[in-house]
Amino acid sequence: MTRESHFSARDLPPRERILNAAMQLFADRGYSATPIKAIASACDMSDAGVFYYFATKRDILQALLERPHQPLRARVTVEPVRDAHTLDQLVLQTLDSAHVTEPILRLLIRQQLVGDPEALAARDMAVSGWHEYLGSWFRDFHPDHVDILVDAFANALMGWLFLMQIRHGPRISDLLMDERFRDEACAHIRLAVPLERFPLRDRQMWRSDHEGVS
Amino acid sequence: MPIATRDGADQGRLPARDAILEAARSLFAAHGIRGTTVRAIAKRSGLSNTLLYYYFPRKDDLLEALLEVPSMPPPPVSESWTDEAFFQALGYIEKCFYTWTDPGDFLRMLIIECYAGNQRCVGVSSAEMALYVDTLEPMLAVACGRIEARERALSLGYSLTGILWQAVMHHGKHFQERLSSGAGRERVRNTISLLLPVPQPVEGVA
Repeated sequence: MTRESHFSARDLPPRERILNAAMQLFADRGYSATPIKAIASACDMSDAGVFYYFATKRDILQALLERPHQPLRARVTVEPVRDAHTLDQLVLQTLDSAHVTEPILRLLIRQQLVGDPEALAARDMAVSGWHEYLGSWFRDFHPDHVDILVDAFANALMGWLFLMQIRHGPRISDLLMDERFRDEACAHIRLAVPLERFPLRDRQMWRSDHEGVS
Repeated sequence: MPIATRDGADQGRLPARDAILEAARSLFAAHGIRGTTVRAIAKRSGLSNTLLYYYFPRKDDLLEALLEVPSMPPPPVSESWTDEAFFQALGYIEKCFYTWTDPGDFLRMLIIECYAGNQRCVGVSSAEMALYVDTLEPMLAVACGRIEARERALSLGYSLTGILWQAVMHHGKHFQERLSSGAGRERVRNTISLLLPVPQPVEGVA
């Protein structure tokens, strides 16, 4: 699976085409070195066409950051996390998203590390959105332990991803699709998020609690 | 791998060399490696450029000397994985974590260098992780055997790196205060507890 496959398609809606072109340019040249004009010409549009969808360059960045939660290719179907298998699915979906957004995340992280407040704010928002998203998958079966499980999941995945990013550089984007790598991530998260230690709330019972008292 | 104390090593060190390293450490931490000149290091340490070149011909040699993989005291190894052993292990791993993050700004600078692709810094990070797994193995093997002990040790390394990394990303220069706060310590302890094997009940005790 090559990255080109995501944005050469002319049949994508214009908004998506802009986002795909911007992601590639931001990653290649840097955010501040990429004018709207360059994004427009990369997707065969006029400047005005781009401005119709995004009022500022910052809005494009923001939109790119909100995308991790809606992967371009949903290869893995996620269900509420209940056991090791459903936990693996959440890990794999996260890796799929990371594969797609890796260039923009890498760029943002670099800017953030040198103290770019815009990148800092954008990423803080993305991270809190991510935590909320993760929480929604743990809530059904472990409603009393959402915070601790989300924290364990996030720490484990961020640490693993960071070490893989520094060890493998830009190659990480392709390695995230490598089966051996994906298995390793799943095994690590299973250890870090030991669901078997937490009481499982039966979802059926929970439902009848709410619906059955008529 | 040096897990021993530094008794022998200290005697061979010269004050001038130490002064240079100290100056280099604080300047690298504040301005990064590229943002620090050899001249500035000489000035900060109160020594001449010539003397500095005598000890460290290149800036890379300075970095090299500062990057020695830190040593850890040997872990407590119990005979069985009781509650007591569990909490001893928790305390030990927690202490290692805060010793590791103690260099503060210097560590933050290393993280930035790693992210920018400085292979020497990345190499140290890999060596640290290998040493970490070797060090924790005997302590955890009591509970779950050698193979699982190594897997758990590696996962501990990943997850604790995750905590550090997020703290550096969100709080920049203030990451250390954040990690040492009540909430920070609780987060570290929770993460370690979940990765340690569950204590085994003592036989014969009801």
